[in-house]
Amino acid sequence: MAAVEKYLKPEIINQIKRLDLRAQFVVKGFLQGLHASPFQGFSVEFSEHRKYSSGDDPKDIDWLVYAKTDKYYVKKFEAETNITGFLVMDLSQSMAYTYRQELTKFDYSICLAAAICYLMVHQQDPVGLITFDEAICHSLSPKSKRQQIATILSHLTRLKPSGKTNIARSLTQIASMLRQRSLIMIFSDLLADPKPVLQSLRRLRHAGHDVILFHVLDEAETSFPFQGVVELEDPETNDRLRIDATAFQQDYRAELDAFCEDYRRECFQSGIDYVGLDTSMQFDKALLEYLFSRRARF
Amino acid sequence: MGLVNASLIIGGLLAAVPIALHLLMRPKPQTMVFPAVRFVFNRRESNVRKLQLRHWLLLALRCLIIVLLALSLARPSVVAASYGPWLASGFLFGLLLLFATLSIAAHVHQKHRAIVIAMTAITTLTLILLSTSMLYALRGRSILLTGNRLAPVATALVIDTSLRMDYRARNQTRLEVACEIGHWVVNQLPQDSQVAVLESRMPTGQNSQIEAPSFCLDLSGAKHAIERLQTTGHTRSLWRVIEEGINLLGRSELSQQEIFVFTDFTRSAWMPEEEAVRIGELLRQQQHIAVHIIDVGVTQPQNVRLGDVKLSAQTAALHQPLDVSVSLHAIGLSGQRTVELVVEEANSTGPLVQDEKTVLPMSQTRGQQLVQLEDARDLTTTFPLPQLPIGTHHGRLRLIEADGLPADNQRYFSFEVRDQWPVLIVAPKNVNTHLFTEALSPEQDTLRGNSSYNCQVVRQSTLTPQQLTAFAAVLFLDPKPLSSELWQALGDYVRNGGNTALFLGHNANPADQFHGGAAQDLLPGKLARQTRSGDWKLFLELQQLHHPALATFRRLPPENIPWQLYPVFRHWDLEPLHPEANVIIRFGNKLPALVERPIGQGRVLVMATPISEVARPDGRDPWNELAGENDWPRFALINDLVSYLVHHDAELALNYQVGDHVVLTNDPERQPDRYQLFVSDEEPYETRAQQGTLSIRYTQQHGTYRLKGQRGGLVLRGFSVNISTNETDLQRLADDALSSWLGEDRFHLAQKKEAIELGIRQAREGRELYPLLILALVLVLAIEHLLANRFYRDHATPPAAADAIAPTSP
Repeated sequence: MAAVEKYLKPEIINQIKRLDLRAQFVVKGFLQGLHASPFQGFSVEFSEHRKYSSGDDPKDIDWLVYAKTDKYYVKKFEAETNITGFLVMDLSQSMAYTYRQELTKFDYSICLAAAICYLMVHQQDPVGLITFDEAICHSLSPKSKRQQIATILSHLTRLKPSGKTNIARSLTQIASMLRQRSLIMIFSDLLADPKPVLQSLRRLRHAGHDVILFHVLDEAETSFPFQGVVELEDPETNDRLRIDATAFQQDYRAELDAFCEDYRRECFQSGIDYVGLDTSMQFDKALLEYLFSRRARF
Repeated sequence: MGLVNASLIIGGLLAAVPIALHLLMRPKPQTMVFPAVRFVFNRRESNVRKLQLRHWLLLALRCLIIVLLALSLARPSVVAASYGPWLASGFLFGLLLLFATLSIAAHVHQKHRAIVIAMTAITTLTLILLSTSMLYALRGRSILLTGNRLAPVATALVIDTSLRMDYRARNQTRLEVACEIGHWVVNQLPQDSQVAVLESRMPTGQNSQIEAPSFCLDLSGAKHAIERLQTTGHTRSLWRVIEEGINLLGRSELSQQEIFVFTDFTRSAWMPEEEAVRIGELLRQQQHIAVHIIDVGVTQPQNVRLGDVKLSAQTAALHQPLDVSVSLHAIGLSGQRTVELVVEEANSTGPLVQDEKTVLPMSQTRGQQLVQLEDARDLTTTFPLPQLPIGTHHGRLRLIEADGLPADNQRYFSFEVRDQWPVLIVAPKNVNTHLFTEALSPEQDTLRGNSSYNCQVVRQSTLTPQQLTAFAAVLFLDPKPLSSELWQALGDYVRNGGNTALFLGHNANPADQFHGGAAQDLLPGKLARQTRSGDWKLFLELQQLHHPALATFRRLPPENIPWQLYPVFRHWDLEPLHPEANVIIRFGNKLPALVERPIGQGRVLVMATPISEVARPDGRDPWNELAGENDWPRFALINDLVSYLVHHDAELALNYQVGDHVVLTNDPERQPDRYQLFVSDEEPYETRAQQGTLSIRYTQQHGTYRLKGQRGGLVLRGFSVNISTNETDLQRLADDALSSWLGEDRFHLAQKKEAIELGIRQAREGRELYPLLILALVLVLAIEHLLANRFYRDHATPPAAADAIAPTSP
């Protein structure tokens, strides 16, 4: 692992208390880790020249400069966007859960959202924020000013996950609310009936929005590390269930895999980017997913 | 089934502990918040069933571990015969557990219906097999195993005391080995045990009440009884002794009963087979009696055995040549051996007692022969006996080289030489007797005094009834009808032990006179008619070559006897034959030629054609040409017939087998009624003749028995007693013979003390299941460990969380 990438671990990020610093830390660490930047050049505004080095795309070579100087220079472009991004945060009680990680699902989500916000604003993309539980709670309109980072981050810092959630309804509301074609990045654990949620996602897609679905689960929710007889309680419904966890691991994983696979398949068919995450994973995976999605639009 | 530590079986109740722990001490579950609980709900039911199955399976295994442990410590044991069924039951029980588990698992996991049905069927089948096996194993539930070696035992020690047990190997006879082990067995017996020592000696029968088997007073008494055992030449089958032992044990009140059979494992000891089958069945009914066969024999014995002695005649006339033959049989060896003939010298004083010692007459070696023996092959050697004076003579044949079994290296024989046989030849005047007397007693021999017969010829017309009794045989050559008085006298003569022969010819006319009451009381049939051969020739056909009257012809190949040179043209038809008549020779037309009829103590021979017909009789055709050129068959036939007639009552038996009841005739007018009986060199004892017979019952010892009496001078008589060849036949019994008779598990065969001890322990304490139980315990422990690890293996190796959800590429 490269020296820089280790700073993308959630447990390291957790040591930084200020969210803006966290976002900056994540983004800079992430960008430094990208060796041959494949994400430069999808903007149209020229930024600077630099010497050609192995690995650069030959089509970026500035032949006029070569004619003058007899040396290879490549043109660098500064991103210039016209995409509007919305960070959609799930505020359900279940998002506040962690079993043995430093970050809860919600902490992990806002950290990731902050980093993406940081990235977008730096690329002059307007970015907004929508939070929901059983319906949309808050909404910040998208702006591309640097002040927007502080606004979003301060809002994210104040958020507390609580109560039940209705993902499908909230997404439907978002689809109705947004008129402009946007990039909608949803951060949720999706612990609800998948059928209406998928319908709402398709509705968003039909409305012309690009959707990235960050499915954030706690590490314990993916590995089911419990042993012996335990009584499990649903934090949203308070339903309780007594099981022998040791014997249940296989069945649980099989069920979870089927659930995730359903979402992955349905999202793929609808043109939605599905990103499965758990709170033990580094942030670069999520950011890389975002950038892949971002590039695909140009 | 018995238990060494019965109290420890209570430990099996500890099997309730895991059940109680399972039911009472269920762990209080820890409550945990878990948002993804919806994934648990969907599979909860099947998981709970699976979980319960695993719990109950593990619980059952753990209970089984405790039960097996308690059972192992209790050290159960079963009778050896039931060991197989118990083993099978244990195996089937294991299979039942396996199949039952698989059936339940198939049901819980909702496998295909066919699989569930198949597994259930297999489980049911296994259960049925287990029940059958258990019933079979418990069929001997009446067999009480005390599980305690100190409990008293009723024991019958059956010891073979035949002469075979004298076979010496490694400087010990088989009997010495048997006695040594018998001592050791008695020492192993718990105090207050009952012991009977039974030997294979044939009871004499006189004191059957005294000789009835019984238990010894105590263990030391049994040891003394063993020490007193001696081999004997007259034994009974071991099966009879075993039966005696079974009957004796049946009278014991002790529940634990054993029979030890000490045998050299030879075939003859375990014969006859019918007895084996019968006693095998009896032992199967008496399952509570443990049978130990102690093999003290030698696997590959080496011995040369002298078989039965055969004398050409036991009573011979003076100057009559005699020979003695003996068979030899080698087992386990081959090579040259020397057989020696020893004959006792004729002694005027007989055996004497001098200085309280018996002095026997001197013996002299009369011949030696070197014989080449091959392993397992019989060989016969013959010695001519010397000419000896009138009287009873004794001799023996012996092997010069010593071997492991001395008892069969010497055989005894006795024979009697008496004066020439007086024979009366009766013929009508027109019949030539010279041809007959020359054949029977050649003139040259008669003049030299070498003839065995003293022939006296009388004409039939001069014959008086009083003449008959002085002769050993009366021979009628082509007789005319006899007067009724003579028929009557002849009948009386035969009934009193006389012998007569009638060679019928043309003089037997009228035939009716041979059909009278007195004549038919004597003759073997009526003279029905005369038969002519016609155009085709009749010859004699010997029917019963084994008949003693055809001794010479028996030794010759039939094709070497030229009967076709001696045709018969005419003969009498003897019919109907008397029921007791026996046809010895027939004519070619199958009609009787020579017929024998025993009457009283004597016998009558009738030949249907003359035996000494001249070639050209005056005024008639010859009846046959038996007296032709080189007529040696006729010569031999005449000698055989007469010899048979005079010897048959003389085959009085001077040679017996051990255990035989010897009966000798004793003429009170010529012989004493009191004798001294010398058996070998032992002190003589007196025996008395009663009612004309001398009866000697006790002949348990082989050797020469000499009788010495006084009546107008010294009277020396005697006889010989030999052991039966079966008594010294060392051929081993087939290895599987006892198993086939008694059953594979019905007896315990052992040779060494260690094996015997093991057998005794198994019989008294049963065969321990401890090793098998420990093995089963280890197996169950291993299975429990494996299953527990399998059921909870995820506990040890949780999967990497990062792998739970794979990253998605756009």
